[in-house]
Amino acid sequence: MKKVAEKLLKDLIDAIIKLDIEKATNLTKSMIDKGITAREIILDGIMPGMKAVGEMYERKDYFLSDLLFGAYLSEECFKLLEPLLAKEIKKVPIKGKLVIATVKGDIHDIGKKIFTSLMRAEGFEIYDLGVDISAETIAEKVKEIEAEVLIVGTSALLSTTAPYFKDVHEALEKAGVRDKVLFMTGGPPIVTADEVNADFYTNNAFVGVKRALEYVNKKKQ
Amino acid sequence: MFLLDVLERALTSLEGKEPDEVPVVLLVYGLVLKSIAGVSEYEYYQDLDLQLKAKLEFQRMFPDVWNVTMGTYPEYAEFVGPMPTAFGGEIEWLEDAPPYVSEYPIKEPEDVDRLVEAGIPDPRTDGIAPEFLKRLQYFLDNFPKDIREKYNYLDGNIYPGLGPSEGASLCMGYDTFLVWMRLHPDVLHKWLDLTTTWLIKYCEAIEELVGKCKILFLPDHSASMVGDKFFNEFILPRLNRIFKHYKGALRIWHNEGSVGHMLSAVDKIDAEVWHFGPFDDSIECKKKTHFCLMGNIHPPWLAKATPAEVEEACKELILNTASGGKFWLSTGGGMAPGTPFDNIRAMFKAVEKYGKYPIKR
Repeated sequence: MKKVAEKLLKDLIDAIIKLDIEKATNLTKSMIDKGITAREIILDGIMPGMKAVGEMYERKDYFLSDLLFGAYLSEECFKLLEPLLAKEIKKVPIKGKLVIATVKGDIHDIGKKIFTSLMRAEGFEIYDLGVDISAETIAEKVKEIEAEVLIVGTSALLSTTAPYFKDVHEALEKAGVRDKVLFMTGGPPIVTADEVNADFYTNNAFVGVKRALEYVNKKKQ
Repeated sequence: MFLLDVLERALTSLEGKEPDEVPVVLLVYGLVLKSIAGVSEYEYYQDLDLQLKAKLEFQRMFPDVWNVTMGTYPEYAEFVGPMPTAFGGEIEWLEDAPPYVSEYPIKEPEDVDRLVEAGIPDPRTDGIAPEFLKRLQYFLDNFPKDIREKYNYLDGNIYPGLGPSEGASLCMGYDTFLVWMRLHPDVLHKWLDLTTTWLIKYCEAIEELVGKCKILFLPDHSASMVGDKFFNEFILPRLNRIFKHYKGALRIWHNEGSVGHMLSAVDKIDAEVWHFGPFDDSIECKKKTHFCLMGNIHPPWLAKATPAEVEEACKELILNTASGGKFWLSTGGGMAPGTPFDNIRAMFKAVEKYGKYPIKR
């Protein structure tokens, strides 16, 4: 059984890397039928597969369309695992909680989708608030779930909404959670983290993931 | 006389000849000009007369800049709005940011069939295009004739907003557009054929006002989101359908996103000028493509750099790229909000010091 599972997981990683959605979802279904846990499928199949896709993107072997399809494909696999996950949830190690949103006045979310999928692959629990979200709603969610990491973004097409990040900082302060969360901003390099009182700015999802991991690891020490 | 030289300089360089000095061709619009007008972006877009005055004031401040096509067009969500609203989408206006598409007309593949069946929308009656055409007519009626002639502004200039692929993606969201390349390629082809046909029709409606096309300015950034396989399959054929429609005109492809990974594919775009971005190497772009390059100082950087830093960056760019012509000094994309005018002056200082032909390192 162990050998079968190993082979199927390896095939799943391979299917994700090749962005073969039919094969990846069929393998996921097949593993569920064979009693392989959602935890194994995620930790030893989807996560390493998505990491490899991300690395290919960084090496410029893959492009935005490929990275997004990888994110879409892994979401489809996650959907299949949802019923199982509900039963196993306590067994899956959660590295941290992430709140993510696109700021008010903007509906673009490519960067958000990519960052979300990479953070999920790293074991973060995701609270995706969506697009066009007010600073107050963001701060309320951070407080409610005691998030370790918050990232808000805006689009390169709407660079003038970037100063809205400052409002998010103020709302976090008002809610009394500013010092409890790593506040990152993403999008075009129009404003620096300092200018909007954020902790970190990046327009590179991978750099953001590394920073989030460093932060939660340090916090747990 | 001086003003004519700007245009002549650019056109000489376009032909691969060396003019007297490197031309400075910029793209300066509402994001920057609202500060000249002293109003919010929303007010700027709504007040056509204010726009015209701000554009003329900028030209007065910088008489040796060619603020090509898009910079001297009226602005009214013309970048993102015409195509999505023609097909039933909605845009939302913001107080101090450009308007955005708030409701996509395409959510499911079936929506494409529905829109194909409905036929091609008429740019003279559907969406915000008719209002934009009215504003274009206002500019044609009120833009001073002498400036128009000297810089070749408006007359024969066509700028229809985002190009066929990026406009198509704004009707469904960039992520959906890119995912459908694998998930529903046939649907996407059908959709792109429709958007391209609509865009040509829209260009023709503009042409009815401005006269026979002399300059086509077409922004489309979708090439930067894909590899060469998808570029060749989905994007290139539609870009070239439009560009070929206007063969004989000066055709400018605006895309500041990086495409350095597929320069040989990009080289197949049937346009004369590529307004390229700061993330692609200017030497490689010049070596591996046929384009006259317009670029590529990083706009957000330009907004924050000191004039001395700007001069140095322009010097390097000029020394690396300007020899033999086919180069217009510009920002890599439109000018960013908050760009100090002293930094534009620094670009000219660099031309004065290092950009006189023959270029010597």
